[in-house]
Amino acid sequence: MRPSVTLIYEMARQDVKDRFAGSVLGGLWVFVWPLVQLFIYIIIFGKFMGGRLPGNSEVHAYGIYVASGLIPWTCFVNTLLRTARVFTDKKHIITKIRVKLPLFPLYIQITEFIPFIFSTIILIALTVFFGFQLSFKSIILLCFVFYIQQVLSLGLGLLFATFSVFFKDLNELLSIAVQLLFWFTPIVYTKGILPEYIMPFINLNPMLHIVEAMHQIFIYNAEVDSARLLIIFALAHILLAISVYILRKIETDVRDFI
Amino acid sequence: MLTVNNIHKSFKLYKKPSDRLKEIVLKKQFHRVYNALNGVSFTLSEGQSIGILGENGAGKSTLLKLIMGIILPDSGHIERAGKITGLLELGTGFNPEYSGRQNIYFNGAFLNLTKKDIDNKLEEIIDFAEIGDFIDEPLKTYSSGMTMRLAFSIAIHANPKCLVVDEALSVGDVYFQQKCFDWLKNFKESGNSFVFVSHDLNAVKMFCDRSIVLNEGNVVFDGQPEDAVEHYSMLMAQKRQDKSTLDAEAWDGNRVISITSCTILNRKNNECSTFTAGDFLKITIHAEGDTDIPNFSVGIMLRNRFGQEVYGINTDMLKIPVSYHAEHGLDVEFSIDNLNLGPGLYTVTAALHDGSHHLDVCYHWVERAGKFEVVIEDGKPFTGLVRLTPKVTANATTKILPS
Repeated sequence: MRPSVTLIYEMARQDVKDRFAGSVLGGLWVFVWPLVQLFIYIIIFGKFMGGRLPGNSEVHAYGIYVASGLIPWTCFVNTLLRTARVFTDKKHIITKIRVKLPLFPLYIQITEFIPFIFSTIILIALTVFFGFQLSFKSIILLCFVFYIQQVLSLGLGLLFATFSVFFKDLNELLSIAVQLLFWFTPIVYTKGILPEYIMPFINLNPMLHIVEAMHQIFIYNAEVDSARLLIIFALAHILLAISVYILRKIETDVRDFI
Repeated sequence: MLTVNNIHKSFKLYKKPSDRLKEIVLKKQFHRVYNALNGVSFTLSEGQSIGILGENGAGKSTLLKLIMGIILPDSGHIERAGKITGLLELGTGFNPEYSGRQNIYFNGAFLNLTKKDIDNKLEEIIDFAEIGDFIDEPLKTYSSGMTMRLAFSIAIHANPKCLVVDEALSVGDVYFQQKCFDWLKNFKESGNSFVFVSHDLNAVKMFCDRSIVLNEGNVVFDGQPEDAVEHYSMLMAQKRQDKSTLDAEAWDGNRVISITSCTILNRKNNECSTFTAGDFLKITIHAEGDTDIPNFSVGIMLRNRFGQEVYGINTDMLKIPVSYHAEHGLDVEFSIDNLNLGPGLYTVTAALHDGSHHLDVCYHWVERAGKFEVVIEDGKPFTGLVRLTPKVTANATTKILPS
């Protein structure tokens, strides 16, 4: 077990370093990106474009609303897309040494966590600065919701990673699906503007519930719907288990094809 | 140490990836099955080293990958006791942007080393690789030799109990190769094992206690390396025979009579393609035609792998009269008692012509009619192009220079 941990850690470290290798600011870019993003959502959307939340005249509320949905969404999507490509991307490693395929993508979880945590810390600071309530309990809840979405990204990612070894087109399809899913998730809009008949369908989107929980935490400081979250929690784990099972089942073929 | 038990492995070959999709949708078979290994078994006990011989496509690489666990067998199983490190993964994950030191950590992680292990061994690794001050320079400034040395050094410091050595050792300069071979010797003497795959028959003889020969996915021989090398050579000779030696790559002559075969035999009169230096070798040239030829000459030429003429002789030079009668075939044998050649690959050129050379009338001229390898006999090493057998004495004498 220990060497596996080292491998994942080294992969993650190398991955982070690779991203900024040769750039002057290096690791500082980790801070720059979320700052720019937050600036766009809070100042541009909230202030200049006059986006407002229904029932809230607060100037910054819309910005915080967008940011609190978009930050976890970005992390989810990046993790998902990179996990789905991991076997083909890291082919030069997998075809040379013995690695446990289901554990291998875990390094992506680490590298994608880093920008997320920086963005979130800045977001929390801004939320408090603009006078929104944020209790300790909310922070714990935030961690829990984040955990669920990442389990979901791993499970879904592994499933796509397994099959995309055979059909590369799957990755393109996934990218498109993710684009569509973005607009079926209330990130830049509120759920209230949607027509009534679409509700049953849109509720099938697990990310909707994740993002809504984030909104509850950051904007409304209200109780989250714990029953819904627990269902998604269970589903995410079942999906992960199924993905690992399938990967194990056809591992021989996967390794031959990589 | 390592038990390979009745391994079968086949690959499904698809013309294009979409065929795979069709197969699932239409439930029809769109692939060709290629059987790489058909029931391979062997056991490697602790401290033993095994050589794997076989021509390209015999299944050597597949077997190595299975042993390493990079691919999984269709049936059968492989038991590994202890850590197996392969030199297949030399330099896996090396990043040219980072220093040698950083790369040691990264590559080490792939070889199942923890950070602490690497901390402890860092100096040793750098010393063995002889990188010196370059260790903190980015890898892209290294020569390819330095990169290989570093990679090899990391691999052998990964504490393997069993090392899988591919052709990897054929890189680097001679000095470093020797260092590696010395290291391998020590490694073996301290009770470790290795699996060695090489076309270097000398090395197989030198390092392995045992050797198996693979042919078309089957183990066709398992035993002493010397016998295995012989078996392998015979197999190769047979294969060449099947393909007919004389669809010659270069031929010439009026073909009034033709060389129909050129065989290379050992002392036991068996066809063979590997000889130890100083061994007996016989080249038999068989010629046939439809016309009587009263007096002509049969010759051979040995060339080394650079195409240099090493030795040439013909019956005219030897003043041996040769004539041909249309109702018979003709066998001309060149027996060489002491094949005093240095190690390496040699080709045989055979020719039938008038007089002492082939420029006037040439009946048939076959370039590369045969091929053999000379290897050095165990315990009687030498270097160079030829094998001389000097008597050497050392005697005390009076000093010539004033002290």
